[in-house]
Parts: sequence; structure tokens; C-alpha cells
Amino acid sequence: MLKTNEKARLYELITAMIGEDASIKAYKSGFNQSTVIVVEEMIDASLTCNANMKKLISDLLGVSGTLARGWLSKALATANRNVSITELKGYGCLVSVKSRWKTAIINSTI
Amino acid sequence: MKQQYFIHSFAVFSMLASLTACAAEVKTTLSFSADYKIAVSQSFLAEATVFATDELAVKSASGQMFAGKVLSADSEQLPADFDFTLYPDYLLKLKPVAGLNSELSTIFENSAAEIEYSYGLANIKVEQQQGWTLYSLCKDLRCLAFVVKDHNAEYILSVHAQGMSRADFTGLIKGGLYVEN
Repeated sequence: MLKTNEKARLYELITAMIGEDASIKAYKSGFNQSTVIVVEEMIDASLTCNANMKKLISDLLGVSGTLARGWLSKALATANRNVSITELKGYGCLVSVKSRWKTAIINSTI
Repeated sequence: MKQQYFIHSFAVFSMLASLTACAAEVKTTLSFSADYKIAVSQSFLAEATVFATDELAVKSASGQMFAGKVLSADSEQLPADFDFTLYPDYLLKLKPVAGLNSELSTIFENSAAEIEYSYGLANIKVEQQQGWTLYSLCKDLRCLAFVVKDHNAEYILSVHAQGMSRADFTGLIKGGLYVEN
């Protein structure tokens, strides 16, 4: 069960990664642990799509290097509140990559 | 009399069998575009959830997810003069991106890295069917496929699934794709 602020933080992270999306926003209230797992996978899979992603994660967690499974769940609870995750710009992958992750994120809430 | 009863019983049995066969063939069509449609069996769609996203997406009662959309150079924000028939080859690293400009080659390389992570590029299968080609790859019950129809250079169908074996995934596409148009 995610807290409301964790759902908001998760949505903020999704938005930073793949942009504002009305269909995902409409499912925000249904975000859950499965959504956290999907978003963690999306970030791990898409590190090459966004050069700034590694820096964002290390800023959020205050650590660098390889991230262990489950890092996002911890990050949502203890994330550095001074780090703005809306500043991430640029997505260096094809549009369809985003589309597949959007579907996976919404699928996790159904 | 006995013979008449047997013939009557046989006729009823045959009718029931053909009705059952007909019932087993009932399918619902997922329409991705004028040229790309897939008929899906009721066994997958019974009590399924169809949900709105960038793609046409369905989650079955058992939790399997099947989704897709038609791609074009326009939808992928690629240059209008890009030869879209080569899209799966570049994306799945079947053809080197060296011939593309640096911006395009970076986008394809980045996207290929994402596909490698999610689906594994080592197990790509390219199957030439009657009038179309199927590119498929699966990893840990997660599958991705591209359907390219001959004589249709503009559009490609991209479908993906979760919780589905490769055989079920490709079977669903091969068994349901409308080949005609």
C-alpha cells in the first residue's frame, strides 16, 4: 500500500522519465507495489535512454554505483526531498519504447 | 429400428460436435489499423479488461497482458524519408546502424539497449509468412514482436505481452492476424 505522497513522488518520477501523460495520471490513485516494481524496471532498462537518469538516482539516494533490486521502494520512502526530479530532460529512445512502459505501468494497476 | 436410432443419434452427435467446433472458433478482433487486425479467441478475452493507453491493450482474467499499436516513421518521430521497412532490422541489431546519421543511430542504439534488457536480443526469431514477416523475441514470459506486411512500407505492427510464453504469443499473432488487407 503506497501513501498518497509516495504515489505523487512515483508519478513525478514517471513524468520526469517519459513526460506528462494523462492516461497514467488517471491511474495514479491505483499505483501500488507492482507499479513501483514496473517503474524500477523501466528506469533500469532505460538508463541508456536518458543520460541524466543515473545522476538523478544517485542524487535521490545519496549513493552511486549498482542499484540493488528494490531500490525504488526505499527511495520513495526516504528520497532526498531537496532533489527536484522534474528537471530531467530529454529522452533518447524511440516513442514506442515509452508507449510499452506506459502500458506496463497502467497494467500494474489493473 | 436400431439402425434408424443409430443414424439419428449420429446425426445429433455430429451437429453438436460441429456446434462445439464453431463455438471454439469464436473470436474477437483487435483492430490496430486498416491493415493490421488480430482476431483473438474468447478463451483469452473472457472476463478480460481492455484498458486505455497509447496502445490497444488487454489484460486477461489470468493476468496475461497483450498490447500493441501500429508504428510509422511519423509516430516514431523519424525523418519522413526514413525507410521504415528497415525499422525492425535497426532496432533489433540485425542491420548495423552505421549508415544512419549520428542522431538516428544513437536513438536506435539506445532503444536496442532497452530491448536487450527487457526482451533479450539473443533470441530473435524472424519468420517469413505468406505475405508478411514476424520478428519476435521473448525473455522471462515477456515478449515483443513486429509484424511487417509485404508491400506495406509505411506501417509496422508492434505487439508485446507479459505473462505469456513465446509459443502462446506467436501463436496468438499467427493464428489471428488478418492477412488479406
